Amino acid sequence: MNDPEISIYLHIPFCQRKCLYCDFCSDVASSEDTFFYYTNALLKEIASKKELFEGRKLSSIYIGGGTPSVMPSHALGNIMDAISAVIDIDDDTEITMEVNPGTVNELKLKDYVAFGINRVSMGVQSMIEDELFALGRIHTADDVKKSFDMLYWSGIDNISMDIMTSIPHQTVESLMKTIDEIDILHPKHISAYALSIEKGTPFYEKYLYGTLQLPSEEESYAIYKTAQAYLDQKGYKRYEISNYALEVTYAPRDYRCRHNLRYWDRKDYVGLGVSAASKVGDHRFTNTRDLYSYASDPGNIRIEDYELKKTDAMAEFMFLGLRKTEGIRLLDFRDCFDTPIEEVYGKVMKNHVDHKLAVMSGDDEERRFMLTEQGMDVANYVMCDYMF
Amino acid sequence: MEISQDHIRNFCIIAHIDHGKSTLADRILEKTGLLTEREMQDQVLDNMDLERERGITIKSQAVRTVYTAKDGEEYVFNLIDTPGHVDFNYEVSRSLAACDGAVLVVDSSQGVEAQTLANVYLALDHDLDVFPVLNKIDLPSADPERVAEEIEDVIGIEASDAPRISAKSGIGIEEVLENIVTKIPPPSGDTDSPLKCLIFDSLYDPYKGVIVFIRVFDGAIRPGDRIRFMANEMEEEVVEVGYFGAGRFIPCDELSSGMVGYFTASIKDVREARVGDTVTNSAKPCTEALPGYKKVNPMVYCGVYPADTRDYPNLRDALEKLQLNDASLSFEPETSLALGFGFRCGFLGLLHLDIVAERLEREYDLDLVTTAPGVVYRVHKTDGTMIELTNPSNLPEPSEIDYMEEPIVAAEVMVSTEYLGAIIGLCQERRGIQTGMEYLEETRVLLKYDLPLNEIIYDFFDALKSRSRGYASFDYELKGYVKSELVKLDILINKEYVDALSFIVFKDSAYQRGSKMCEKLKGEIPRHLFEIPIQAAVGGKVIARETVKAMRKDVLAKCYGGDISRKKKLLEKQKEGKKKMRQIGSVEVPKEAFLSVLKLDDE
Repeated sequence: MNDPEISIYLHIPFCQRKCLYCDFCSDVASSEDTFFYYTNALLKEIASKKELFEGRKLSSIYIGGGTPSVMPSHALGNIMDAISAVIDIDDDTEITMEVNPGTVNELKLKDYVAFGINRVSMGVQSMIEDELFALGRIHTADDVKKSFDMLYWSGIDNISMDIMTSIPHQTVESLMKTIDEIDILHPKHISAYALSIEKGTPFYEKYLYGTLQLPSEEESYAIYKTAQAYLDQKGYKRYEISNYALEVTYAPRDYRCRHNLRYWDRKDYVGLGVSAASKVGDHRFTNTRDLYSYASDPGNIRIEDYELKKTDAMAEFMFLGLRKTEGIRLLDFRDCFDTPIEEVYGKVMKNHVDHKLAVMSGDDEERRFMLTEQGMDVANYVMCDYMF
Repeated sequence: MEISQDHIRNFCIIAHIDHGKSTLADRILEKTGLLTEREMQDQVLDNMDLERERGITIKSQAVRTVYTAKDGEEYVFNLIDTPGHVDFNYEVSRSLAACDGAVLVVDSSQGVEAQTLANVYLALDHDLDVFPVLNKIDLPSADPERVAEEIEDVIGIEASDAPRISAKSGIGIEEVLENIVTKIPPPSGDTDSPLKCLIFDSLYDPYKGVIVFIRVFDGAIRPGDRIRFMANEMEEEVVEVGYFGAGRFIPCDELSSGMVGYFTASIKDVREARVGDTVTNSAKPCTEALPGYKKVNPMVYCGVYPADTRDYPNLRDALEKLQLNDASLSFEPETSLALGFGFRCGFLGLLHLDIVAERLEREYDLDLVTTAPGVVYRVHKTDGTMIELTNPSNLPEPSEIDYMEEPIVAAEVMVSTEYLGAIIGLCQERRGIQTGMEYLEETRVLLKYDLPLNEIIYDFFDALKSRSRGYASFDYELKGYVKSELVKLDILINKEYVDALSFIVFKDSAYQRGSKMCEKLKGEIPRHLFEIPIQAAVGGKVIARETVKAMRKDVLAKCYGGDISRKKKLLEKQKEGKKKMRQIGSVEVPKEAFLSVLKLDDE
């Protein structure tokens, strides 16, 4: 199945300061030279990937990091120009940029709009000062409001906010307060992620020494469930395990993140920059995580490079598709793999339905299979059954 | 080379574990020129990976080398390596039967230890001439004079002129070699009598078939000879005979009386050439077989199951192959509701069990689940009959049982006085009855206890080591059976009885063991979507309970930047873990849970 469209993920691995829980590929940039050096490498990689884009329509661009908003505007402009040189960017292309509260100003925003950025994802995490401090974030709740207003008045109104659950000091009440404060700003999209303690982060060390004041298991579960219910009550409809889009009658537009949906639908995307992952057809490859080896031969030093086997692709279809609340359409599986889904997964699916972890709905062509709320809570436990 | 019998020396080296037996063997091979120093790989005789890793010898190995003595004559040495651990007495015994003498290695700071004694007695039983060697004299703590006296006092063999050596630094090796020539008698067989040789080991080779290791007592064996295995009357034609080089087989024209070597005869099945059997010539047979070895009975039993049920035939194959050169291993098929098809295996001791399980996993690439080891109980039924119980699941109904007996061992613990209190405490806890206490010197005591075998098979060695900081050694032999108050402890997971987790326990320890067991299992059983009660019961009455809480949340938050591979690997790992679990009712139990019963006393 050939995808007529393609997306781009652009990784900017720089931050003003690294958060205590972060294990993403990012570092504090030492000087202007570093940006220059990295931009040049990106330009080289983009030009070298020209043929991947030929004959395709650009569906979305996602600029993530790190903190992409720490990049000087002119550098970002050069990158966008380089992309335009290999594929057309039109008004319909969703272009998202991650922005951290307090890292933007009116001047920068003017540039961003000029580059075509039409969606912003803000790393809010919490609106409670103590919690932000414990996470090692550099912004305050007030910065969130100021940056939001600034974005809004510059013309970017499609704004998403990330919040975190199970973070130090958090309670059900404090989470509700965070959601209340965010709801006043009324962003179009909210992602709610549970904190995970990753090896190699300062949080991991603290966790090992028992000095991290995490909510208890009971509290943590209550917070998690509250986030779901309270966001729903505020009009944010859950469409993926951690993602919620505003659904209001007066603005009948789809605010789901098109770029992320393409990951879950196994559509094609090209990752540019250090540590970025790509999928083109059944080919998956990932750039090195080391900045200097990346820059020495941009896009050609990879930590992973393989063709998906049919069984791998089937497993991906399931564990990515089932992240969405709408689940998967049974016919899509057959179109993709020339095999009815029942033949491959019939037994597992029935078992999950029997245990109320999943349900079937719709008739004939529109028959779908999706996880229940309980199934979503234990998604790993369910999804690993689809692996081979 | 024509060798006359009086220029042959067949010997082995015996020692307590860690006293330097394998190192001395290496030195002897090096000095006699079998190996140049460059070819020398440490501990040549310990071939199995497992042996090197654990620093112990499990299977016996043989090697031939030539030594030019001070009298100018050349002597052929056949060195047969023996295991040092008490569990491998059987292997020691068969190695000894092939020898005429033994070199006793004693650590000159540690002195005589429990297994030094056990091995010397075994050697004397086989009528071997034993001479001592004091090793590790270059250690600062060495006290060879004291140890020599101890050897004379405790063992009763002459030790004043024993070579003082350091196998590690190569001191005194010449003296050992001369002693082998002068103190170990040459073989005394008759080359003209009918062929009579003893099988002391065998090995399967895919090209040559079974390679039979033999010691020729009388007569001679040559390629083309028609030979007979006296135990099963099988006849074969000899294809090749030869002797042992370092790590290889060297063919020769014949093996005559007094020699140690091997033969092949296109034997496909190792069971044909049973270790301990006598081989003779079909045309001119000898009248009676050699005594062979003392039959040993397994003391410890446990269920061995393949983690993947499809591996059952492979497990049977592997056990059969292991049994070929480890006759002390016994097994018979059994079935468990929880674990499916497997085998009830008998072992000489817990180390033996451990080694066999590990060899199965490594050499045969099997993933195993082993159940709690138990001993052989005698159940006297009300109808006057008695059954020997090796599997707790077969325990008759309480109403049918008159009384039960458990095996008791006579144990000897050698300990330095500093830890005497701690060790006596340990033995009391394990229901031991003191039968004697002797001061060997001012600071060392030989403690004698009668202990229920049941109490020492789990972790007695570990406890002994930790409470004495390594300054205690231990040996035991089966003494007999005594009447005892025993009960069967059952485990229920989510109200389902799990046969593979049952075990027999002393009545007064049931509660403590039961609650520990539940606690352990709670840690091993992953959360499910529902709550799982874990209960321990005796005769249908629940005596302890724990609960595995229900899993409510298990989710990957984010697929960051399209990095699918990382998440995929996580899910694959989780799936792999799930696959290895056993289904008990609606609960999936990992194999570790079945092993947890082994580790009840780790604090």
